[in-house]
Amino acid sequence: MESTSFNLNAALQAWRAQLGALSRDERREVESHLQDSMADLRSRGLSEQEAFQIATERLGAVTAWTADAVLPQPREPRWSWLLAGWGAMGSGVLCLISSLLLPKMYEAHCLVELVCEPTNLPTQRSILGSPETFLKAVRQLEPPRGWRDQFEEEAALEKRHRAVRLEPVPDTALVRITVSDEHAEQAAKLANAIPIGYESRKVEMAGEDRAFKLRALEEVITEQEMRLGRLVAPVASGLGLSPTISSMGGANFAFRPEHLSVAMLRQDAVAEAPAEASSPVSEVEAERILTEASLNLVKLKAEPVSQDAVIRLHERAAINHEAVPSAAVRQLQGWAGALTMLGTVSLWIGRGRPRWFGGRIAEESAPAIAVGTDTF
Amino acid sequence: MAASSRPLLLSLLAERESYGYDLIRRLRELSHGEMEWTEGTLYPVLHRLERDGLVKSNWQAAESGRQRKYYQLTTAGHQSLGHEKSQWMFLNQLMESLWKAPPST
Repeated sequence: MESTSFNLNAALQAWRAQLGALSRDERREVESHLQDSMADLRSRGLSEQEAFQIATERLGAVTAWTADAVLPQPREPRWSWLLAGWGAMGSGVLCLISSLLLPKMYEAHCLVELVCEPTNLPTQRSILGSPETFLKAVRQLEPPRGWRDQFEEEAALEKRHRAVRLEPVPDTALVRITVSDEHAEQAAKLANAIPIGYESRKVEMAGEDRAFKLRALEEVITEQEMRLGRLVAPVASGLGLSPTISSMGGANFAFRPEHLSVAMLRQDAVAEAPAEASSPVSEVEAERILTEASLNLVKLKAEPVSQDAVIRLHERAAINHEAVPSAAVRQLQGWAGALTMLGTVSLWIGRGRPRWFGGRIAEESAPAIAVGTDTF
Repeated sequence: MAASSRPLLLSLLAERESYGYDLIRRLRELSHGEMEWTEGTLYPVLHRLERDGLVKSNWQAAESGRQRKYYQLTTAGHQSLGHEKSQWMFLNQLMESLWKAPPST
C-alpha cells in the first residue's frame, strides 16, 4: 500500500545531497540510472516509495561505486591560467637569475658617539645621516681615479647614500654607521670617513650661521647709519660741515673710528640745532643701536666658530670580506619566490588535478560480480 | 570475474550503443539471470573505458523525454575488443584442453 505521505521530490532532493563529490555530468547519469531503475520497479507493480527505496538501495553508496568516476578526468587545459602560470614562473626565474648576477655587497660598521645635549641628539643624528655629510665624507677620501667623479654625480651620490644606514644604540648617544659597497675596502673607508664628514659639515654649518648673523648685523648698521645721516645732515649743513654719511655704509661695513667722531659731531650739532630739526630721543637711540651693532659685529668676527656637538669615534670600521645580500638582491629573491609560488598555483589550476590525485583505479577494488548464488 | 567485465562491456557495446541500466539488464538476460552487474561494478569500468578512449558517450532523450547517457564503441574500442577476443579464445582453448585431458594416474 502506497504511503500518501511520501514525497518523491523531497526524497530525491535528500538523495541528491549525497552526490556532492560528483561532477554535474556524473550526477545526471546517476539520477538517470535511478529513474530507469524506479521505472522498471514501478512497472512490476511496486509503489513509488518502494521503487525509490529499492532503487536507491541498489545504487548503494554512490560515492563508493563512482570511485572511478570521481577520479580526475583529463580536462581541457585552461590556457589563460597556464600562460599566466608560465609567465609568473618565467619572471620568477628571471628575478632569481638577476639576483645572482648582481654584484656582491660588503658591509662595514663603525661606532660613534655624539656628545651634545640630549635634546639636541635627534638633530645631530639627522646631520650625521644627511646627504651633505655624506658628500663631505666622500670628499674626505682619496679615492681611486675617477671614483670621486662617480660619487659627485647627483644620482650616483643618492644611490650611494642609500647604502648608508644609521642605527642609534638605544638609551645612549652612540650611533652605529653601516655602509654597503661592492668593495669591502671602500665600504670601510667610507664608514670611517662619515664622522670626519660630519665634523666638516658642522664647521660649514657654523660658518653659514655666522655669515647669516653678520649679514643681519650689517643690515642693522646700514639702517642706523642712514637714520643718523638723515638726522644729522640738516644740522651739519647749518654749521657749514659736510659729513659723508654714505661713505660709512656699504656691504662690507666694519666698525671704524669715524663712527665715534660722527657721533660726536652729531651730538654737537644736535645741541645747537633747532628743536624741531630732529628728535633727540631718536638720535640717542639710533646711536646706541649703531654702536651696539658695530661692537657686536667686531665681537662676532673675533669669536671662534661654536661647536654645539662633538663626535667621538668609538670603533673604527674594519674591512669585512664577507659578502652580504644587498637590498636589491633580497628584493629580487623575494619577488622570485612570490612569482614562483604564484606560477605554481596558476599552473595547478590551469592543468587541473593530476591523474595521481584522487585515489586508485576502481577496477582493482571493484565490487564482486554476482554469478548465480556465488560471489566472485 | 572482475576481469571479464571489460570484454563483456566491449562486446555488449559492439552490438549497439547503450546506457548503464540497459547494459545491466542485457547482461542479466543474456546470462538468464545467472550473472549480474551491480552499478558499482559497471560504472567504474565504463568510465574507465571512456577515459581510455575505447568508448564515447553522448546524451540522448528517451521516448519518455528523460535524458540518458549512451555509450558506443570507438575505433580503438573495436580494436581492443578484437584483442580481448583472441586472448579469451586462447584461454578458453587452453582450459578446454586441460579439462579434457585424461587425469594422470
